[in-house]
Amino acid sequence: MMAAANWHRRCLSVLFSCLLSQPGNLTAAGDTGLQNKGLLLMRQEFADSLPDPVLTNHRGERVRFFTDLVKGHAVVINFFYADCERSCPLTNVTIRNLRGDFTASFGRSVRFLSITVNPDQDTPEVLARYAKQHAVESADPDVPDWQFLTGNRDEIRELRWHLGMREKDPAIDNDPSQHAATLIVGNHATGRWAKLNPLVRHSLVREKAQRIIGWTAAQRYADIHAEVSAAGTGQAPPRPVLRIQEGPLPSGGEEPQLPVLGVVSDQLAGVERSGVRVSASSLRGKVTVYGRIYTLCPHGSQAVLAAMKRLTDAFAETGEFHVVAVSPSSPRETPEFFQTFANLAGAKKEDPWWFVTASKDEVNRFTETVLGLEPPRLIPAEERLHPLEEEEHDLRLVLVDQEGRIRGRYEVFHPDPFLSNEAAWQVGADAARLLAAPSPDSVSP
Amino acid sequence: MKTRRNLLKSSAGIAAGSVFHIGSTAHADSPLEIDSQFDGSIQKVPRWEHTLPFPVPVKPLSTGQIPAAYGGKMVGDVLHKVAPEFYTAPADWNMQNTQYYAMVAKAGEAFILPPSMGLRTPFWGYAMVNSDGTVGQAVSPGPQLRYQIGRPVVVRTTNQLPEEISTHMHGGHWPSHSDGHASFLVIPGASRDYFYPNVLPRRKDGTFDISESPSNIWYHDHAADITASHVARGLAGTAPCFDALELDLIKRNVLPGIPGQSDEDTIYNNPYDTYLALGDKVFHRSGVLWYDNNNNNGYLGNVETINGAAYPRFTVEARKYRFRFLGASTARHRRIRLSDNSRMLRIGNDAWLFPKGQEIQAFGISPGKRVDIVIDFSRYKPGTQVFLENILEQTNERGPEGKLEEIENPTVSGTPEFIHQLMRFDVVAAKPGIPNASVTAKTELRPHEPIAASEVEIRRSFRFERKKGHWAINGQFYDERIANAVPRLGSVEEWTLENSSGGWWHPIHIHLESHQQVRNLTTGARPAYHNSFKQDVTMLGPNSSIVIRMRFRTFLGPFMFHCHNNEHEDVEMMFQFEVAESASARAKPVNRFFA
Repeated sequence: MMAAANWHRRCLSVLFSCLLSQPGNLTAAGDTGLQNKGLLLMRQEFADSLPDPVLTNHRGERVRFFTDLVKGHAVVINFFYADCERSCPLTNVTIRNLRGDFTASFGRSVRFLSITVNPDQDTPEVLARYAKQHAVESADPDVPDWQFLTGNRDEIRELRWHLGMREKDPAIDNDPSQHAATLIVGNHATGRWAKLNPLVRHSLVREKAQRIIGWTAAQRYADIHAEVSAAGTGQAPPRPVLRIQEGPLPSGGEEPQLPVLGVVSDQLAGVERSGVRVSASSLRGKVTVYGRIYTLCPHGSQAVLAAMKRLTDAFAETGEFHVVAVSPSSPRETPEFFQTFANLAGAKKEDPWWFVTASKDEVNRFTETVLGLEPPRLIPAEERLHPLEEEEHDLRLVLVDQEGRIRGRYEVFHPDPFLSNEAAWQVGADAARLLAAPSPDSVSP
Repeated sequence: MKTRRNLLKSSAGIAAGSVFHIGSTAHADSPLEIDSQFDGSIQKVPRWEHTLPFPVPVKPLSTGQIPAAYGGKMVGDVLHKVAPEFYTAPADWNMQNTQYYAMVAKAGEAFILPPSMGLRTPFWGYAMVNSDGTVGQAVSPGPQLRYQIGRPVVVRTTNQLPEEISTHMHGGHWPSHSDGHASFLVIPGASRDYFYPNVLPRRKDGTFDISESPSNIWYHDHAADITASHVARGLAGTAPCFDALELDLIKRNVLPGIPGQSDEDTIYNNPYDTYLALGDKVFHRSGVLWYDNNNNNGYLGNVETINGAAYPRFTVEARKYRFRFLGASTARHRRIRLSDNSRMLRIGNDAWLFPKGQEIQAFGISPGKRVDIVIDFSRYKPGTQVFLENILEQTNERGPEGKLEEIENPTVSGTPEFIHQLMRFDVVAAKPGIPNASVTAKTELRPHEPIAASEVEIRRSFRFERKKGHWAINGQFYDERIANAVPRLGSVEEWTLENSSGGWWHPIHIHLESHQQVRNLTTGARPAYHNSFKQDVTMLGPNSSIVIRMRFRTFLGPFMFHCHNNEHEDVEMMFQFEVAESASARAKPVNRFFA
């Protein structure tokens, strides 16, 4: 694994030196040359004045915040607490994705630090459990370290304030459940710090974080380089005309239409977490997103739920949008179970978001023959992450328009986090288009 | 209790010889109060030691259809290329007159604090490339580019800083590629050819709209996420623009200047006309600028600077001067007056001259705004000292004390509770031979073409608010791939700008063209005189909504609009609109035909 990652990194560095050999671009040496005296002085202004309290991590190790964790490193910091059911699960998805994104390029030069805002409850033991739940320890030495940290309440508050995470209203500031979902990204060597919003499209977060975490200009601006190089090629002068962007993004005068991939002709008869029987046909007139979830699934369903949460947040206000999470029922997976499960996923009661259970056969029939998803694949016993996890499911989200026609399937969970994030963004953009054009366009299936 | 009379008396007592102080110097060097965690910052700064620096005007490297100055490299032959409009310019853009400049963003060091303190401050600024290819010293405010309508300009901007930049030319009418879009960056070591065609938008009948001709342009960094720290470190400069109408006003000695010099040549030498870029900073005791990168509410300094010098003095002749005030702070608002409360003539708002000037005693100026002022020093005896004062208290990032209407009130009654002196004017006798400029409140300046309700094609509403510890518009954050509004090229739209974020202040800046305020939905009032023409920053006080109308002309592509409290802008209180061939009422994926 390590060898593979190193190979990956070598590839990147070859690629970067190709980029850099273009005339007018930086050489790697120029990068350090830019660290002039002024910059060195200016970077002292913030980072070196950070507090240095002793914290305890989930491994029970006592560490100093600045001396042991920040100095000489790039860091991604967030504030959380273990019982948080609101923004933390989503932020954790973002962090997990960023960790994956940065394994090959930055390795352990970047650290992820999650500091509790509720240190009285979040003891090192609680954090150890929390870390285990999130499977943060990895055998791969190139995966960036992720530590959960607790300490003295007052010192943590002072640290949080120093990092700019202070609400003007003391009532809000003192309430752990009101803490902001912000990621603080900093690089001690370059002195660059910024706050990032983990609730925006993931590729944005990744690209912004990369600009801060990178140790060379080539690393930091790889995406921009690629984009600029793709935007125009040398000699032929570009024209100021509107052009359709590559790929499926529609824009400009004549909008390319989303394809019609099928029709939700049949009903799914199931029970919602409220205990009420619901059917898919009552969602006619709304733009609907279907997805299959699997409550034991440690990774894939998290991504699906996060995507559903984002869609609900974005479009619930329109009143013309609905999300349906479909899951087979079992003695364990009762409507009451799904009430709790939905809360954990951030779904509020009033959200247009159903958690529908039906018999396993009914769910399989609906997802395969109606939504057009792949049938489940049996997982060989030795690959199972959980003894109850027997099957691998097609976790694509299915976008259905107001007329009940299927307009897209989106792989929001993909081994490559970049692709899954792009898919999550795409389903939102396409849903927005369908919502913007309520009169259905006449495309025959 | 201190009365104005006592203050006058005490200051007169300090005055030596024949010098007569107007206003108080008793508490002149008391530090500005700020809520701050900058422990150990410099508090006391000697006053009136610096002489006011004038921004340095620069000459183009070459002029003509083909650039002789870029060492054999064609325009566009750099990583970030040039605006596509450069290749498709119509004949009446006069491309044969194009002026070519080359500029470098890099670090420098200077006395921002008074030299007697012995502390040089490192900063980030801009330097010009000389004709022999050498690069000059970085200065902040940056070198002054002087534009003329009908004379296109190309500036090859190279980034020698370790962080990405994007230069926004604030107040002009530029192609999307060259406007300084937050995501159209110049990455370290690379260059972008900024193309400033200096053309006016066309009216429906095809003629150029001279009412839209800008005067007071400034440039500053606009790179997404890091604009505020870059501006606070010094990445800003000035760029006055002239057209035939304004040059004629100088030639006829209506506006201050030396007729025959100030209206001629590309340099427009004018000792009676300067920008006053107002900034505020915190200094570490080593003289290093102190900036908290993680405070995204706003940066307030306790030391005031003008044109990059702390508390300068300026020797003025007893005649009229034109001062282009510029709110170059990222978060501080000010209300400016003369220490004797005497009248000033306000001749413009943001980039544009008024149809006629307005007599005022004070004006409000927020981050990003420009206020064009004529002060007549001929009313003072030579030897008089008069002070420029900020009378608006602001100790935290939320915004200043008081209501917007009070801050913008053109008259000052009574003695202000808060007075902070920024600059001292030393009045000397006027040089003979040049008569005093003739401008008064009755003089016709630039015509105004109001936008009628019947022209409006689409109405949109934007709510500026706090969300989850970040700053949002309509609950959304800036996404470089989303065009949050798509106006049709050549159309007019009406936007409601609403500030619902509690006690916070948001100056809203819209790129591409001027906009016109229509009404204030909160007070029901029509805009005050200074707000009833063109502007590019509309100030939103706490819990207020203002309706504006705007034309979208000449250039296709994405442009920014955002809060000009740069710290708010960096945590995503920023949207983009994309001017397109057909409008969309909803947000759409942005169509970028360059990067």
